[in-house]
Amino acid sequence: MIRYVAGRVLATVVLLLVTAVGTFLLMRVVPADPAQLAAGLNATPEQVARVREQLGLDQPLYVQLFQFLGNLLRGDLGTSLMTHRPVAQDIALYFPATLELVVSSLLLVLVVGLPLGVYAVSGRPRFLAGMTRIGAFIAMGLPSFVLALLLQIIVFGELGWAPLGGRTSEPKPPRITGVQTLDYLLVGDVAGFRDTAAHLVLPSIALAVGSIGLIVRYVESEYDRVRRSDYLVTARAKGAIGGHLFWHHTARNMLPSVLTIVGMVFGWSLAGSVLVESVFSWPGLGTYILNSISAFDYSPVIISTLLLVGCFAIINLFVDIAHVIVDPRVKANLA
Amino acid sequence: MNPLLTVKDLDVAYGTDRGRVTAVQGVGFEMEPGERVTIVGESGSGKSSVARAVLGLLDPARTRIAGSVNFAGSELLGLSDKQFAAVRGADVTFVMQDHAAALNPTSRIGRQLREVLELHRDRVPAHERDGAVDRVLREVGLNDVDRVRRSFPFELSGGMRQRVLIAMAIIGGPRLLIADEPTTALDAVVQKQILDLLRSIATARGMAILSITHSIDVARYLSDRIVVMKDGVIVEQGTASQVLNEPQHPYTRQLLAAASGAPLTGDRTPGPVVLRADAVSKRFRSRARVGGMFSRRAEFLALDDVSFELGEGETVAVVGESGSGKSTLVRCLAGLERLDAGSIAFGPREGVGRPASSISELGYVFQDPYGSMNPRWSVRDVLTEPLTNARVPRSRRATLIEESLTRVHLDPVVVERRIAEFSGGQRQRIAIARALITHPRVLLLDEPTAALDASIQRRVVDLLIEIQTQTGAGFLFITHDLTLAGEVADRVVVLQRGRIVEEGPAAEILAHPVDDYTRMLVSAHALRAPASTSRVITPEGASA
Amino acid sequence: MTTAPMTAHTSRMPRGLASFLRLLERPEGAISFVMTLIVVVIAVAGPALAPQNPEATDLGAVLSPPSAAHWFGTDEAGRDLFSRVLAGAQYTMAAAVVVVLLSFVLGTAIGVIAGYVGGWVGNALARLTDLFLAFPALLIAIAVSAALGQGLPQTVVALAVVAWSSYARIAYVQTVSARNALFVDAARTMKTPAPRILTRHIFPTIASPLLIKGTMDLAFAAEWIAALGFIGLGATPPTPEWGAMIASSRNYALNAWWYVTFPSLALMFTIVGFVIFGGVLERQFAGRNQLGRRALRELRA
Repeated sequence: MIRYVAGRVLATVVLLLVTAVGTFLLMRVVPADPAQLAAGLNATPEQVARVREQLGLDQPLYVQLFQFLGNLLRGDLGTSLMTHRPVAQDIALYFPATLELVVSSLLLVLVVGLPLGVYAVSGRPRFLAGMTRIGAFIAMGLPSFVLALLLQIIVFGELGWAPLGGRTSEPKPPRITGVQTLDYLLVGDVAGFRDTAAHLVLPSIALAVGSIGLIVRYVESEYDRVRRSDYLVTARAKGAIGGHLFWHHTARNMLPSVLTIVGMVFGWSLAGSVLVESVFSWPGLGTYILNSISAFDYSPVIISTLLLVGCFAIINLFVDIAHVIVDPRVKANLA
Repeated sequence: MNPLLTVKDLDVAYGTDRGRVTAVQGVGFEMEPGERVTIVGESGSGKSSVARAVLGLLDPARTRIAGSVNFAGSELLGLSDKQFAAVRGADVTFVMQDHAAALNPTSRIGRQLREVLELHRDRVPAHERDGAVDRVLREVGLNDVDRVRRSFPFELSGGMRQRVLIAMAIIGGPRLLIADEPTTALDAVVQKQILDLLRSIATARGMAILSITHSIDVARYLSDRIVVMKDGVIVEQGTASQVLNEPQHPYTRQLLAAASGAPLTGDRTPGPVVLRADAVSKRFRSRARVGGMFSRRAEFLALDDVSFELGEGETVAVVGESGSGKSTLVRCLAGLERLDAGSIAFGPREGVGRPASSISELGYVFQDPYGSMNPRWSVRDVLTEPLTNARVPRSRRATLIEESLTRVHLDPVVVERRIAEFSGGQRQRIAIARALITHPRVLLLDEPTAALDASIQRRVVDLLIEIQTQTGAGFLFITHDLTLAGEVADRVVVLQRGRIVEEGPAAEILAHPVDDYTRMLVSAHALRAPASTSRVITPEGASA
Repeated sequence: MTTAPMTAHTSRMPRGLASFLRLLERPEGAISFVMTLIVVVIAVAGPALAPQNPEATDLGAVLSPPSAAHWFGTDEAGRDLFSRVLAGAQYTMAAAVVVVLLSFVLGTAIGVIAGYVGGWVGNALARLTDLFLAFPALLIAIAVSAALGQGLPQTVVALAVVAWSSYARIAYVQTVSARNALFVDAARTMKTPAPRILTRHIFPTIASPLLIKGTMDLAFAAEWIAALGFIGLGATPPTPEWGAMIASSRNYALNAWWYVTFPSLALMFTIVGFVIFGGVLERQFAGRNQLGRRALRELRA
């Protein structure tokens, strides 16, 4: 078991390393000259040369790579040309917002998607269950940013039910963890909590819908597979029915695949959050990335992407570990 | 005494995409307490549907059931699922066919056994349940109780899993046990052990057993009364001796004839050696690493110093159970695996040994007729492939194809059909045609009839015998079925765990086995009425 | 004793056509097929179908609502939205097709080689595939796109770079199990040469899940292209790409509802059509991997 975890951790580290090197190289592919940008458009060639030396951009590529990796490990993530702050600080500012959005969207996906997936297979009446299937396909086919826009226009523009964008109406929200809903609760400000939660609703829905479609389809096929199993017949022959049969036998054996899908959904949501954030002016990492791109400020883009990929990899690591706990056969394949 | 189970006018029909399919019609029989009844039939006879109808395991949304199933005075059909569930698992229990998939893979054995008692709380009080689990495990012969209780199903062998299934079926103290093909997926030796176990448990507990099987031999071994089913109806029923010795219905007679055949007469002197295996060894590395990521992989020896010869016109049967290495041996002979030691040589008519370089030396018939040919291909494609590989000129191909099809008694017009359109028995004939089309000197057959229904098996075996007489090729047969080997082979080679433990003329080995393992095999196969003492019943009713 | 053939052959219709017609019997099959057909026709015909020049501006008719002259209304430069939406089909779909083709060909090749050759080569390729699979695709596409700069071709390359891995995975798994299939063993005992085994046995067996995935991926590729266009990384205005159009429409969303709605509807129509069609294909053909009846083979467990 320990060896398995160690192996997975090693694989994750390799993944992060490859991503770091990959993004570093990507940075060098960029056509714009970073020294020029850093020095400013009106700088003289001498000033640019000095900046280049300062930033270490005149060194050979592999030296720069080692410097980059070394800096990463030390926690020095560079400075944003756009905000003139250390990137690390920017990230501490923007990342929790993305987390908040992704987690609330994930909750929505699980709470809605899992039961719907089961319903699509065995629910009554049959035609509604069939419609759920089709509905899942349609949900998968709705691009999140289009949905976000339409929600914004219809729910805010026409109905006025939810706020337009941003995270909160208040000028100075509390800042403990950076996750505002949590922060308001910790401070005990219920009205503030309700306000920030209201801001969270539309973006979460926009982000969740596509994943709900995906999960319904997966759960549907997995449930269909498991319920035809022979061990279910044995269980019924033992006298098991109804809820007990479902939870102890069917659901228990669907768990490994559900775990995998949850990991996938998390990845999808992380990527999709960039789009939704831009529509709702949600001050998360995605917005940070997009703004940096427009400003040709590539260092923050690279770091932020690395961070998101890292999150994704760690989630997958946990999913793998959970797999070993939940499915005894996995351990056997390695022992 | 009142009958324990009365089935009357039972009809079962399934609704499928193609409309209503009647699986069972007008079936009726009775069982007394403690009696043992077997329903015998081939696939499609409806026997499994009867069992599941009695247990209420059919899906009410898709099946229509009519008739009466009366158990110990109460009518079962028409009970709600909840009421039925109180009976299932406790009074009437079920042992499934496929032990591999029948147990919940993510739940430990002990828990699965205890579950029966938790679902039927009135049988055993809570504090005594663990003891009951231990007792029942010992009763089925699993004495390492602690280990088994904590194991997951995949950690146990096939025989052990079958015992666990039986344990689950008896822990509630049922009056009737229904066993669906309880031994089909097991080796002969284990089969016999399981059947003996069922018999002794039933006797000790006064429990009735209703078994479902396609094997007349299992029926003979296990039951007091036999019910024969075909195409959804009962064609004959009676006491075991009635049905087995004085069968009335032609189908019953056909089943009996298929089950035991006359042995080949035979001393044929074999021709020159066409296949020689010399000190063949093969090692396998298992995929799993023992002891973690940085240790060596476990190795095991699949074949250990195996040597034998096959002569022209001779039939040699290599007999062994699963794990004996017989499949590995055949794969090595066919060139699918590399040898780690030793050599394999094919000898031409001239008598000089050389390794198989041309495919016309060797034909191969696989066990699984559904997997060994690409189902999308046409018969012509399948038969042409070996010809193309042997660079047979196109002009000759049509004749060879027609000839090979005729030889296996198939109408040559079927060449255009796709393989997917044929039945198992037909496919196996096509496979044999494919193997013979290049006139090989050696034919390798890997359990060629194991996957077929009993009556079809007989016909394929007859075909193979006929072919050998015609072509004079040397046949190397791999099988687990010692009785079949005795009927068809001149010589028998017995393999155990990769080594040859005994070899000699077939009749000799069966009558006077020397090695202990061989003796065990022979006695396990004595389920079958030994060919020399059975009365062979011909379809006309006369005995030979 | 000659065995009479058991199955009566009812029709001489080619197999492919027969199963295709069965596809259309279900309502979702017919509807989605029609939807995808419409999209394909429009994409192929391209601007030829448009009544007006998609790039022609008319500053006198800026942001005018749908009318007889402009069925979908006009945008902020007075361009006819209907023509732009039709032209956009070609941009988006062409790019989507290229993405899918590139990733399909690259991924399948890598997967099949890894699966058939096996050994350390196969292992290495499989690990590489897993590595690429581990990245969240859209994120990487954004990063790569940002590095390569704006423009549709760059987007296509960025997407193909990440998308090939899922094809490779499917091809790998399928090839490995096809390679272990009994009929492949049979071919090997008959000394059929490896290239012929690949083309006549393995490819036909593994083709269907890959083709199904390709169909569905057209939808997702279109979505991603539009998404990248939306955040400014793909096609640049005034190119009539749907994502870019939707992005431009945001500023005028509350006053000119048609500007947001019609490109969005077109995009959703395309994606949903292909997704459902892919799903229908999957339902119909996915179970058909006939690699031998497992029940029989495990008889001697």
